[in-house]
Amino acid sequence: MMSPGEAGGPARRPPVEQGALAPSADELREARLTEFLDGEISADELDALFDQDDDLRHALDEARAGRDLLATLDRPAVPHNFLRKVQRRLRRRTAGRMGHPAATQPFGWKLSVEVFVVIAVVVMAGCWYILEAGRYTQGERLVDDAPAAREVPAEPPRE
Amino acid sequence: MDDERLIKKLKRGDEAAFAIMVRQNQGRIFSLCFRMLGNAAEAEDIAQDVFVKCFLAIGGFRGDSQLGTWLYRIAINLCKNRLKYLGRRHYKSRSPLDKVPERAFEPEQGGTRTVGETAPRPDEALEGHRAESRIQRALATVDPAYRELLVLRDIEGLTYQEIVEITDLAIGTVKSRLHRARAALRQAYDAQEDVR
Repeated sequence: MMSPGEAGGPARRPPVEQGALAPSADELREARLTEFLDGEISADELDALFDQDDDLRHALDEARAGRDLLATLDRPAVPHNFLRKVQRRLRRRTAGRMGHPAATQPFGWKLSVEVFVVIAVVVMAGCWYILEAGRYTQGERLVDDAPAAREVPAEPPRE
Repeated sequence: MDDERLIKKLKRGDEAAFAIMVRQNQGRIFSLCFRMLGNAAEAEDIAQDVFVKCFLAIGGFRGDSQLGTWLYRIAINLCKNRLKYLGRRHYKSRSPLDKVPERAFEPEQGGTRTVGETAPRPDEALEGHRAESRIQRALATVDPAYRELLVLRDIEGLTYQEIVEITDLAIGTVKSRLHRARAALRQAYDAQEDVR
């Protein structure tokens, strides 16, 4: 594999590091060549800068050829069902909380397991309360309304 | 949907917005991963990871750059990590003819076929496939530090400012390194045998 130090230029060139150091003369020259290929500077300006240097012409031709190679490439097609696969991966990573296909539907909605459990408990508690309270009230009324409760038979006299 | 609204929805965990983001960016992210890794299966795996990581980390996205640029940054970092991992396992990046994905012609995937344009003849298609395969093999032999610049600038067509944001390199370094990268690609291409 060609490394940044060995490809496309003389061996004396120091490695370029994250832009922390001031650029060398070679780097400035290479940057100028790139600007020329990008159309940022004209051929006249380039000639003025480098004074018809043959090596420079060769380097420029190499770089242009490399760039033109890539210009012929088309964008590859995205794999089939890519979105589905991403959603499936998201679902796995979030333990099912996200990435459900229904969540992307117009009326789709989602619940995490925890929220579902809390809602279920609240609903069950509510149902229980309503049923129990109803039974208690109804039972009380039954007791109050019972004829037996209103007319307590007199205790039979003792013999 | 514009970036700002999309990011707001993503930050709220809106999964419909997530699907929109994936559809909008899947073509270029997969393309970048494929050109960086030289293998469709690896590229698909990393591209999926890019979107999942983006969605899970969107809360920390400050909006200093565009969403697309941020996605590219995640993709480049994941690709470099994968290349290091594969390098340790002595994996050889290769893209034989049957492994180069079909070209995209759908507009949402960046295809450029126009109305009335006919499909290439089989022999032309095969020749194009061979040429692409040869370029891809040459690209795979170029150092990743160079390859990322070639992919970002010459394939994806990003501006230098975007490349600076993605790579954290100085703009002069980007241009200088790009020059060497193009020359390196040309040399690598010449060194490749034309597989027939």
